[in-house]
Amino acid sequence: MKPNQKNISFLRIIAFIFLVITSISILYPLLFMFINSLKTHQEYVNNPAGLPIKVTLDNFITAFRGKPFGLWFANSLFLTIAGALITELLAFPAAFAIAKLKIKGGKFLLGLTMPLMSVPPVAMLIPLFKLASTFNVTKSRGVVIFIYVGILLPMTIYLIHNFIVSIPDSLIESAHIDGCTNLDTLVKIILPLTFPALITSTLVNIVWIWNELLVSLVFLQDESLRTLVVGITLFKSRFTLDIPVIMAGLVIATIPMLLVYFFAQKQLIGGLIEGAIKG
Amino acid sequence: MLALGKKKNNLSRYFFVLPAYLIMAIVIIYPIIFVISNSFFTNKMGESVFVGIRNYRLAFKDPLFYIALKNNLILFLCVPLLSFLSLLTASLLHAKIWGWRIFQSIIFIPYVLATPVVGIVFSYLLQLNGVVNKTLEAINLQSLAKDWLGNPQLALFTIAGIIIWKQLGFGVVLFLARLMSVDNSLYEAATIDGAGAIQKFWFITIPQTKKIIEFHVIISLIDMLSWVFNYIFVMTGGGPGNKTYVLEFLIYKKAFGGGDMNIAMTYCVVILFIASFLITLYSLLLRKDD
Amino acid sequence: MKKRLVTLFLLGLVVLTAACQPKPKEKSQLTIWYWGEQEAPGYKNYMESMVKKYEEKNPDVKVNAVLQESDTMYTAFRTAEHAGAGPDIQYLWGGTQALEDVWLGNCTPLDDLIPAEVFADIPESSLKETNWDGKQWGIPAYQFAYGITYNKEDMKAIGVDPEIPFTTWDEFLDVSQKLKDNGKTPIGFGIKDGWLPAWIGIFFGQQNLDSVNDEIALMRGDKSFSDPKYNEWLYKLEELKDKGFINEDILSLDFYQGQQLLESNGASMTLHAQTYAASLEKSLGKDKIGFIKAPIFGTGKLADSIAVPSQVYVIPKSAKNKEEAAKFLIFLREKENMKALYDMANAMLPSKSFDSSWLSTEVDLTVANWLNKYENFCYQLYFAPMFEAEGLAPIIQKMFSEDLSPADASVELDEALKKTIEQNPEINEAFRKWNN
Repeated sequence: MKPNQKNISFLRIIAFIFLVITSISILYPLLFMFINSLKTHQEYVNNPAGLPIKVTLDNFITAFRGKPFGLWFANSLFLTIAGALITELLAFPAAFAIAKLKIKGGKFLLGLTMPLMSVPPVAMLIPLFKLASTFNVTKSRGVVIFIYVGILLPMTIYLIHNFIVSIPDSLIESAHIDGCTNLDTLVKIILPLTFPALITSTLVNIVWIWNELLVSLVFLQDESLRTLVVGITLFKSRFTLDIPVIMAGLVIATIPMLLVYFFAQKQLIGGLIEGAIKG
Repeated sequence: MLALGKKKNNLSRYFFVLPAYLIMAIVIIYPIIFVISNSFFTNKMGESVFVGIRNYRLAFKDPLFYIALKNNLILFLCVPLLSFLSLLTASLLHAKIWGWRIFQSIIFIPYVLATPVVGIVFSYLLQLNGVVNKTLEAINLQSLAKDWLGNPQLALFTIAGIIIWKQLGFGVVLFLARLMSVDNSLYEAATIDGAGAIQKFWFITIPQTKKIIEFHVIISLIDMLSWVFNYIFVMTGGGPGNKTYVLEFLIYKKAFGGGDMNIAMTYCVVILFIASFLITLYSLLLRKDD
Repeated sequence: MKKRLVTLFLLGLVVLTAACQPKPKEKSQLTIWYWGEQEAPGYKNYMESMVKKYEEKNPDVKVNAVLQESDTMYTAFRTAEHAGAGPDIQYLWGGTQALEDVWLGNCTPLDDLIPAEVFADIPESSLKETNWDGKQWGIPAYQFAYGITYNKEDMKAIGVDPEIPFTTWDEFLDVSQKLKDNGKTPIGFGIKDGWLPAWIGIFFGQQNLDSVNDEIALMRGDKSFSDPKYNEWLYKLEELKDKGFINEDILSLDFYQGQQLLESNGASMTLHAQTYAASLEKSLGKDKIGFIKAPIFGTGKLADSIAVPSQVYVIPKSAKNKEEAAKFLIFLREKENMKALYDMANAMLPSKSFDSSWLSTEVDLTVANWLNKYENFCYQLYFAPMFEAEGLAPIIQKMFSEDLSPADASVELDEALKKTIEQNPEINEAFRKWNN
């Protein structure tokens, strides 16, 4: 027994080291971004890897002065909130109807979500752009939100459905016997029970929309409509010399998602597992 | 009264699915039909002209297409590695290695970061005179210092590595959840039988998570096909010497970089074809499992 | 109950449509998509002040000028135009890069919109760049010369005349060697994003050609890159690479990053547009920044030519407000606005009434001198459509990333040219027509 135990603790040490190295490799690029956003350019050139000797916030000021970061931030925020909420508003009843209302073709509709998830957005761009232009709404946030909703619906329906399926049918039947309509059932019975799943899928969608590049790159060309992620991607070429300014821009774009993550880690991870595992 | 109410419900329940599926039809299904039908046309001074399979002939003749296809396949080959690393990390966390909760939180962080942010930061870190190489030189490992994104043999693998870096957390969380629901007595019994950690991983962990592995592999394959544009766009722009083109990037370049949009549509059809192949494969696997 | 359901559904729709609804228009709108800040720092300020001035003069017009990014300017314009939703005025890079959009059917001829006397003020060579099929499609936004910017202090340190460090290729090699021996990186380049290859072509590609027809014959596929007349410059480039005169991290730097090595003292020479060089002279001093022609190795009549192309504005086919657009373009050519362009962005408007006494930098005076002495020819202006993106850029990249030999590169360039001609037959037809 003894040699075996020794062996196991040895393995545990190896495992621990492996996890430490993985964590460092994940944290270092982030650290690199944060510390360099606080350096002067000269200091970056002399010492790109280490901590700043003298902390400066000038880079953030330069970033905000050079580009309408505040506006981009607001644009991203608007798209993210509107897109995520509307997706939820539409996906929730759909998932409920497929899971519990025994509608015709429900299985087919559910089966459709997986293939729809796999269609690459790049293939949708040209047709959607043409479609939008026939209605003369190419440069509108509304269209971009509409597209985001369309892209996110399959995954969202899939996740919520997997959650609702596990709710016992008897609950719904008794609600019906009590005279509840489907909508009542949805709001009064299912909503409270599904709340965690809704939160999770909302969080996943928030992260997705905030970080989306391709659709907003093509549709929101006006500088006044641009999102933060598109802004910083293009912004790079203008300040290529002043790397700390670029890093400051990246930090501005990253902080909101890190905040979401740290405050909602449990729901994000927990719900994701829940939805995927049951599927 | 009851019957009437039931009938009302009968109709109204379709309203629950209608808006969602209507939007999906417009945003996803309509473009598919459009792309397929337009791949047989070309644009002549603003007018659509039917050209049969000319676009396909030209598209399949273009060496760029084969580079892109090959690179997508190489990325596919990285998927098993991604799944394996995820599962391995998950089982280490499951074994409650000291500090596992903190490790779990850290490993998931890249999932919430924007790909362009990740791409830009890594572009700087991995420059020939960047921090990574400087560090390697400082610890006397000059021979490992490479032009990570500028070397044609290396660039795609560097990108693959960064994708793994970003996607690892998702897989880990997925597998960890499954492992937590595995009956612990299986592991205990194996311990009594004298099985080592590696045997347990091989004979218990992998079979027990088979379904999740399949799910993860298919999701990651789709990622490698349909969601890698951002990495390429930000980090290499397809270079050096076209060595990092993937299908998605090829479509973007052909469609929006000048030239013939309709040739881009033929590539869209190809990418849709591969995606549907993957999906069919997955549903066959699911059916077999059931 | 059904009512509530319908309300819910309607609510969703309202949110969507409200977001889609364009705001009601009061004033006449003029949308301009422009570029230029990247190569002529100050251009954005200039454009904004022009917009303000124009709006003051025409209170019923609202001008919306949007600065585009290098990576997405063409993408944005072509997608928008493909969908019939383009701006009223679009900025394009000169030559075939602008005419490609003419051939795609994206532009309106300017002849009926802008009076002949306005065109009469523009030098013939500038107009020719976007004249096709007997019509004028573009109007110059500004012109600039291409040149090598160098660090005068580095030249002094190796005992070379800081005003004219070299004129011939051998002198150039000699200077580079001395710089290298002195611990400097002679040339700063960044090739990762693919802009550089065409720039190198502008400096060296034309040196064995006698006239524009030589290049057109090549671009039509009638001649081959394997002919030493057309590929000697590739050998010269290889020479620079093999002798270690180019920064070793060329492959991991973007074009601008390569240029900026000069400012950060990472290299002694780089390629620049006149506009940017002049702004460097202003910020770093004329004792530090010099601007010089490409060293000569070729034997063609164009060997000592200079490239002074102009960028252009076009009025897109889908423009809603073409007359107003034309009015704005004419307004930009008023004499005091011409001066504002020069003062704010170091950029010169191609115009016969441009006053050379305005010139305020050594760089601009040098270029004015070149313009009197040498022929103006820009190699990039006559590329076949898509040739740069799908041929030249990746193939020159390969010379650095895979040590592709100039001979093999020539073969690949021929193949790439054949492919672009085949894939865009309609555009190519137009290309041939233009050059006849």
